[in-house]
Parts: sequence; structure tokens; C-alpha cells
Amino acid sequence: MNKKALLIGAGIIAVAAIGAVTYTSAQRKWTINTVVKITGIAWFNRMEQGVKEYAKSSGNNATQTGPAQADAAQQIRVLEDLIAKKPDALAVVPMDPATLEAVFAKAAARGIKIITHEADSQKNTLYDIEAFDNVAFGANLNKRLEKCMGGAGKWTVFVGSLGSKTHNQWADGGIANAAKNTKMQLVDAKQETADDADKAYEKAKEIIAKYPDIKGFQGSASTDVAGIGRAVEEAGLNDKVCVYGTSLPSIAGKYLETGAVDGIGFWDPKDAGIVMNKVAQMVLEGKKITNGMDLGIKGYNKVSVTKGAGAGMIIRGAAFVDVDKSNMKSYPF
Amino acid sequence: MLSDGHIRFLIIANGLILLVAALLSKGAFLDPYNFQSMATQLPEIGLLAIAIMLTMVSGNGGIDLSVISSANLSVIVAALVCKALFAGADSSAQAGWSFSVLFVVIALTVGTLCGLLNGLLVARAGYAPILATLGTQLLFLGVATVLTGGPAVILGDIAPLSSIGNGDLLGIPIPFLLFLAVSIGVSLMLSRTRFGFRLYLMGSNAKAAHFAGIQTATVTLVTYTIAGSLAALSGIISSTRSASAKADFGVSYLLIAILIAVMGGVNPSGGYGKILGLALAGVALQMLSSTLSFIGANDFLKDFMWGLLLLLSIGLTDSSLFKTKPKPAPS
Amino acid sequence: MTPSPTPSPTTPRADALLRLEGISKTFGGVKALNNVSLELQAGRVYHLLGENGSGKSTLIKIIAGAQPPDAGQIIVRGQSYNQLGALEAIRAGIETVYQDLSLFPNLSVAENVALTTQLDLNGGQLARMLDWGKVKRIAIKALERVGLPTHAGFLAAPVETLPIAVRQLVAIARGIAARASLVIMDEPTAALTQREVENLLLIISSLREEGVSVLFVSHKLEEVFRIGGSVIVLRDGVKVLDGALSDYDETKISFVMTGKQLDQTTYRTGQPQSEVLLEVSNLARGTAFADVSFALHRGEVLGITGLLDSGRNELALALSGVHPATSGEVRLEGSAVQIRNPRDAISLGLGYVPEDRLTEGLFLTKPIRENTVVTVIDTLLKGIQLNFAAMTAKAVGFVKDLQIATPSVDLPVSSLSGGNQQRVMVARWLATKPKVLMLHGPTAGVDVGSKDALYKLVQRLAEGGMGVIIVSDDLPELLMNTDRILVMKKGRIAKEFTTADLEKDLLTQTLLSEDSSAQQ
Repeated sequence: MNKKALLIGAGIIAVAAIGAVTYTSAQRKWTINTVVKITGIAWFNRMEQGVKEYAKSSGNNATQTGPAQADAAQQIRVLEDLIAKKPDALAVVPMDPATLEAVFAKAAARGIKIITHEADSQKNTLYDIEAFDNVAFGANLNKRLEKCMGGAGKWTVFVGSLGSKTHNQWADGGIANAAKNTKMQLVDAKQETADDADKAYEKAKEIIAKYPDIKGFQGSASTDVAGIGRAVEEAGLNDKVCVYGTSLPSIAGKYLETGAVDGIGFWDPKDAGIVMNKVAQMVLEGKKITNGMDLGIKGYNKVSVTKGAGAGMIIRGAAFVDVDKSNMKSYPF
Repeated sequence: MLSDGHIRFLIIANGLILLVAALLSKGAFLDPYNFQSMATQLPEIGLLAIAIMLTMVSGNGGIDLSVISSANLSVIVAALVCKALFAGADSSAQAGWSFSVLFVVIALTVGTLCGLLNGLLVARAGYAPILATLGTQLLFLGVATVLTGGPAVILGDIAPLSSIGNGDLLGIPIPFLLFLAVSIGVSLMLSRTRFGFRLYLMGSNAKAAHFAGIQTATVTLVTYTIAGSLAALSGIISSTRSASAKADFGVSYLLIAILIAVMGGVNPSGGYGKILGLALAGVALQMLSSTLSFIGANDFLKDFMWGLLLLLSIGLTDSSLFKTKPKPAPS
Repeated sequence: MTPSPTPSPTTPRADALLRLEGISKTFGGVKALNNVSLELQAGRVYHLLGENGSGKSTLIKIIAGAQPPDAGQIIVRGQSYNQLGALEAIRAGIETVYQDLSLFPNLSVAENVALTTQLDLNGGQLARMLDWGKVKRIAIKALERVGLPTHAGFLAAPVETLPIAVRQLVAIARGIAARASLVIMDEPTAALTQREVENLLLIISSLREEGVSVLFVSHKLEEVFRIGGSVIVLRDGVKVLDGALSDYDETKISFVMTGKQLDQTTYRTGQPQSEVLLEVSNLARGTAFADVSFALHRGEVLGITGLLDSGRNELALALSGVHPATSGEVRLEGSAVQIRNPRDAISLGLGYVPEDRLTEGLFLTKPIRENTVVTVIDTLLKGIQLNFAAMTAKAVGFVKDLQIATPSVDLPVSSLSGGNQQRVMVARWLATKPKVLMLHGPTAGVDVGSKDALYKLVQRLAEGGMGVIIVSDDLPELLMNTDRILVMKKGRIAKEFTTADLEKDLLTQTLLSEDSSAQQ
């Protein structure tokens, strides 16, 4: 019996200790919870930096959390648990906007303000923040890819998941651009990588095996080009195959150096995180965001505000960056 | 009875988790909304856990890895058919009811057929359950992905269908009531009917069951078919909660459902398992998960705590449920 | 009745192979062994006898090093131990053939046979690189001695694919493969037919000549006296007899074992009626058996026997529906019937108590009640619900009728002794109120007291008009209980005997003879 009590006691102490460490102290002005698609990957770690910066400068209680797996079901659970705590606002990067409509409605009914990012089809949101026009971004990546490929050859595009709205928009933008050029041949489009570098690596290997004359890859999830680059490098095709995609220097850096990846495009998730929280704060203070407004962050100095899918609005910035080997040092993240 | 110690452990664990949660959240955890929220999240996984439990009890290495895929496929087919039939229809209450009823019927039918396929592969073709359901898991996922092309099928807000996932009766969420009803139903079936009697014996020694005149193929077939139906019900709850049907929704649920079953006292070798244990295990895991979210802990911590709880349950109960061979009496 | 302990030998021999002094062992409050002392010399055969629960198996496990005693000393090779580890026991030259065989089902015959020699060689570990040549040689030598094939196909066969009788011989082969000084055999003949038993007796003789001692544990008193040697009897954990077998006879030994007199001559009472109950015509199943025809009368007890490959087991499985026959006709009470599965057999009124109750019959961890009523659960309902009161009442009824020693039907059936477990099996089939009851090896691993009870029960059933078929290799059992005996050879019925006129030697001879005097 003693052993039992000891074990249970140890268990309680362990939980309490961990809880004490992670539980934030006294309540401050507004509580804004940022919920991302999946925690632990470089992209959203960078976003968390922005959230922390915002928390410091504004004095508000801003934190970031997210599911451990890239599964819409898990994100719903995290949101439901947060809603029970009744934060003032939720800033969410949805895994799949459609699946969150009901839970957002529940939050709104409880008086919680909803801000989203990368979800321009979301209905139950007040403002959806987009760093830029997704289709144009995708087309831009594809233009760079096309140029690298010499305007001809087989190419393919990866997405994190077929359900991911923004990834599909980028991919479609790229596909539309390539369609204008008959010498660009699209094969096996929209392979799913679940935002996982290993999966992208496996898929790229398969493509290379299936099409030995493949000339171009376009990635969507931040980890896609890392996986693709690794496969291209292993196959010794650095100079023969062009790889472009959304990613960060910290993820694709080493492949940009060797030439396995030729270029990346991105927007700074840190800034996006700050903007989400700022917009949430403004909403809580009763302010409106209007067309042409300056939100005080680089790339969002003259935002366009258009009607969204539901009653809310879409805030669009102009915050994309083209990065390759030559300028990657300027972006240390 | 063997499982008494196990049930006792689970009750104590539940009590402790609740206590710790209340303390850490300075009482905020005990808000009725929070309980409602938890009561909404548990059922869809709980139903899958029951489905897996039944297959485990049937023995022969029984398991159903395809529950998520069949759940998704069921509601995808239902959603596509209903949307097609009711396209452009008026939004009257009557149309809403017709849509809802048809949706539920189609989803349950598809799920049952999925389960039937599993049953045929295991009982008639003789495949090992883990292999058969691994195959059907991918098969159903593939069909679902082809049908949807990838993105989710939007259901939208259709009364009274949406209330299955989002509504409540006297403050108790409807998913929870469904889970409760199914739990009671399955529990009665297992303990009070011939089917349950035969299922437990077959799981305990399939050869002896055959010799004793039990139609083992039929019992196996029925078991997997029921599992498919339960999966469909889980899918109905998930899809109405998220107002959409997706081919790859809830892929992370599978291992959690297995965890709930095993922690609830189901012996993976067959012949043992009680619904009460499963329900208590599910509640414990749900509360633990919500507690961690509540205090703002890292989501990875949840996996750690669940693993810890499972190991504690094995170590502290010393239950022979976790052993594969019974010990004969000394002579 | 207090057992009277025999005084142990006054002068312990210094060169004794193995000595146990004051060994005691308690299991959860029950004293399995109480201050047992004995001495084993080299080159002798010792028979360890005792009813179930006497402590035999516990004593064996302690000697083999599988379990530690709670008190006492084990002296082997001059060294005194508080407890013997399994490896030390092997090093001391003690080899054990366990009742449950303890073979590795997924490993091959050769690997299993050579196992303990390999363990000993490498200090308790299996070497990373086995010397296959050596393994094969060791295996072939041992297999030859027990009369098993030695070709490559057999050596490589996974043990789990082999029938129980062959597995038993493999286990014995392992026991004699190493250079043992003491070979312990726990119920080694349970699955063996006459010919194989004869062979085993030869092995034991040759071991004795080589200076190896054999500790033989068996229920079959007839075999025990056949082998001869010394005898040690345990009763309720205490040694009650230790001496030469030649000083006693079967009746006296049974008396010492059970403390009561047993009727040993014949059990057959009553006469078969003239009405034919079961008629089998030209029944066949592939290569297992063919052209099998016989009739069973009401109130008759029919015995069926044969060697390992005679088809007698397959015939029993066919009549019970487990492995149905592929051609031929079966008529029950005059009408033709189809037995496609056990369910059919039950509804027709054919009961079958299987050969191996542990794997084919009992749900070991489930209660006695469930084990008893499984065949008739459809009749114990209240609407669609199970009627627990009726189920319990039925089980309790059988516990009383068959005198099953248990305080409650809620206890798992694994808590019962072998003899009582077998009674539960019989109860299960009696519950179906069969017209014909088949018993396959009904007293394997069953103590003398339970054997007596089962035989008396069989006669009672026959007198009540039931037709009984006993499929067995225990010839005395068949001679004591049946009206007729069918001997099968190579899938066909070779000879039919009327038991009353039959001499045991003639039966044994017919069984063992190699000539195919099979009736065409």
C-alpha cells in the first residue's frame, strides 16, 4: 500500500510542478490566445517570437499554443479547451477553415473575438489576415521556377494537405502560371506532405524515380523544399533540377547553399503573429480596420480591406519576400 | 472479480485528476461550460474505443485499424449524396429533417458495410485482423479522398442535423447522451445476451469455443460489423461538430482510442473488457488533456501524461488482465 | 485421516545422486510440501506417485530448479543448496520432461531437442552462433532413441505443426539428449500409444544400464508396475511411502495414495440393448480414414483404439463435427444426418468430450459455471437476456451430481485439479442431454479417484440408455469399461473384439503388430 501511495503522490507532485512552471501568473489587460496549426516546427516557432514580442510591448496576456499533430480534429480540441477558459480573443491559423466554423460560432456566442490567418474562406471570423494575395504569390514562385527551368520541362507541386486552403491557392496560382506555357508539363500535382519534411523527402524520391527527367518542384509547406532538396541532393541533381517553394532560411538554408534548392518565398510569420494580435487588440478596443490603414508593421503599411466569406473582412498586406542564396543572410530565421 | 482493482484504480485516478485540475486552475476548471466542452469532445473518440474494444475482446489478435477511415467515408458518402439530392432545395424545416434523417441513415449504412467487409476478411477469408483492417483503412481512405478530391465536403448548418454534434438536452451535450446510450447498450449486450457470452468465451479460447458449438465465424463477423456501425456514429458526431466531412479527419484518434480501450482494462489477447472501465479511462484521459490545455501547458505534455497514466495503471493494479497466459493452480 | 510418514533411510549414502532434506513449500496458505526428504541413487528408476494436489508437480519443479523451496536443503554432487537454479540443475545433470512439454512451438525439432545442451555449453545463454552441425548430431541421436524420424524435413519442422504425441516424444528426446545423471519424466506417456510406450520403457532400461537415474511420474499404475524399481508416494504434501515396488501391488499402492480402497477389476455393468442408436457407413475423410462402418446400440459402451496414425482421432473429430467427414453416411436413430460442425452435433444429440481439455475444452480463466453451460446457453434465457439464476442452478446441479470439488461455481475453472476439470468437461456435454456421448482420452492426466468416478459415471449413463464411445489408448481402461472394442489401423477398422472374451495380451498384440490385417 505504501508503494502505491508514494507513486500516486509522486505523480501529483510531477503534475503540479509542471503546471506551476507553465501556468502564467496574474491576469493582465487583454487575454489573447494564438492557436497555430501545429507546434514545434520552425515556422510557428518564429510566429511565437512575434506573439511574445507583442505581449512584451503591449503588456497584454498573449500566448501561443497548438496541437502536437497536424490534424484538424486536434486543433478543434485545443480550441474547445481554450474557449472553456474564456479568453478575450482567439487568433487562429486554421488547419482547415471549414472544420472550425462551428467552434468559432461557439466562441463568438461566448463573447470571444475571432481573428484568423491564412483562411480567406473562413466565414465566422471578424478579420482574416493575409500577408499577400495567395494566388499571386504562388504564380510568382512559379515564374521564378519557370525561369530557372529555362521555360520547359516536367514539374510538380506539393501541398501540406489537400484541405489546406492557402497551400492550394499557392499551388493553383503556380499551376495557372505554368499553364500559359505549353512547354511546362505538370505531373502528379499536389502531393500531400502533412507539413512533414520526411514525407516530402519520400514523395520527392518517388517523383524522381518515376520521372527521371523531372526538372522542377514547387513546394508549399515550409518543410517541403527541405525534404525535396534532400532528395534532389541525394540523387545528385542539384544543377539539373529547380526547386522553389514557401519556406524559411532556417529550414531551407543549407540546401540554398548547395543549390539543391534554388529559391524560396515567404512572409515573416513573426510579423503575421504580431499583426493578428494587434488586430485582435484593436477589435477589443472597439476600433475598426479600414482600407489603406497603416498597422505599423513592415509590409502591412497600406493594407487592403475587402469583404470576406462571411460577415468579416479580409486584411491583405504586401509582405512577401523573394529569397535565394544571394540574400538569405539578411533573413536570420 | 479480476477487474475490480482496475475499476478502483480508474475511479481514484479520475478523482485525483479532477482535484489537481481544480487546484491548478484555482477552481476555474469546475465551470459547467468546461464540463460541457469535455463532454462534447470525448464521445467521438469514446465510440471508436468501444468499436476497438469489441474487436479486441473477440480474440485472435482482434483490432480494427480502419475505424477512422470508415467513419470518414461514411459521412463523406452521406454528405455528398444528401447535398446532391437536396441541392437548391428550400431551407424549410421539413427539408432539414429529411436531409438529416437521410444523412444519418446513409452514414450508418456505409459504416456497417465497411465493418462487414472487415468481418468477411477476418472471419471468412481468415486474414489476421491487424492486416485486414490495415488494408481496409487505406482502402477506405483512398475511396474517400477520390470522392472528395481532397478538401472537406462542407455540410453547413442544417437543423436538426447540426444539433447532433452541437446541441444539448438539459445542459448535457447530445454527443455525450449518444455515447452514454451506446455504452449502456453495448454493456448490456456484452453482459446479458448470448452474443456477449459467446464473444467473451471465443476471445478467451477460440478452439474450445468451436468445439463447444459456438459459431465462431458468425460471432466474429457480427463483431466487426458492429464496430463499423459505431465508427459511422462517431463520424456523424465529428462531422456535425465541424460541419464538414473530410477524408483524413481525426487520424490522430486511432492510437488514442486504442489507449482508452487498453487502459480501460481490455486485454488485447481477447476475452476480457468492461465498458465501465473503458468509459472511466476515457473520462480520465479527456480530463487530463483538458487540464493541460487549461493551464496552458505544451500539447506534447499531454502525450507524456497519457503514457504516464497508462504505465501507472499497469503497475499499480497488477491486473492479470495485462498478462496473456492464465496461471494454473499449483498441484 | 492422518497420513503416517515413513522413516527415511537411516544411513544417508555419501554417493547419492540427489538428496532432499526437509523440503517444504507453501502456496498462499496451502502447504504443498511438508518436510519431504528422499534420496535418489544412480542407475535406478524411481516412481513418484500421488493424487492431484499431493505435491508431485511442486516437488518436480523444486528438483528441476524451476521453483525454490521455502525450507530444506537440496544436496546434489556433494553440494548443499537452499534452492537450485534451473541452470545449476542442468549442470548437475538433471534433465526434466515436463507435463506441458515446455517446448518452443515456433522453433524446429532439432533446435528444441538440442536446446538444453546449448544452454549448458554457453553458461545459460544461447550462443550467438550455433554450431548447427553439432545441433543436428545431438538431435539425430536423441530422436533415434525415441523412434522418431531423423530426416532433414522432420528436423526442421516447427514443433507447433506436430501432433501432441509426436511433441511428447520430442520433449523426451530433449530430456535424453544431454548427458544427464537424472531424467525426470512427468506424465510422459499421456499422449503415447502402446508401441511408443514400449519404446520408452526400453529407453528407460537402457538409461538405467548407463547409470542414469529416472524419476517417473505417472497416473497409470499398470505402467509403473511394468517398469519396476522404487516407489515414492506423496499424499497431501507428505511422503507416505518410500521403498521397492516389488513389495507392493496396485491395490495396496492405490490405497496408500488415496487412503481408500478402489475397485479395480471391471466397471462394466449392464448390457447393450438391441436397438441400433448410431450407424456409421463407409465414412471417410481424405487420407485420414476411409471405409469406416460400425453400429452403436443403445446402452452400449464401444471402445475405439489404434496407434498414432490409425485415424482414430480423426474419426472422433469427424463424428463430433469439428473436422467433418467428406463422404459416407451417418444414421442416428434410423434417420440420416449431416454433421457439418459442432453445432450440428449438439443439436442432433452427439456429445464429444475432447482429447486435450486445456486447449480444446476449457476456458481456463472463466468461471466453472460458464464452462459448464456454454453448450446449452440457448436454453437458459429470460427473453433475450441470460438467466443467471438458471445458469448457476444448472452448474451447481452438475457440481453435486459429479462431485466436483469446488466451493463455488464462480471460481475460474483453472482453480480445479485435472480430475475435477475433466468432470466439468463431462458436465458440459451431459447438459446437452446427448443420445451418444463420445469421450476422447477421458482420463489423461486424471488421478485415480477421479478415474474411478468417471468410469462409474459412464456405466450409469449407459444403463440409462445412452450410447457411449470411448476413444482411448489406455487399454486397461477399454477392457474395464466396454462391450466391444474396435481396433483401427492406417485409417481403417482392422479388427473388432468382444470385450468379455478378450485377453489383454491379444489386444496389445493386435495393436502393435505391423502386418496390415486390415479388413478390406
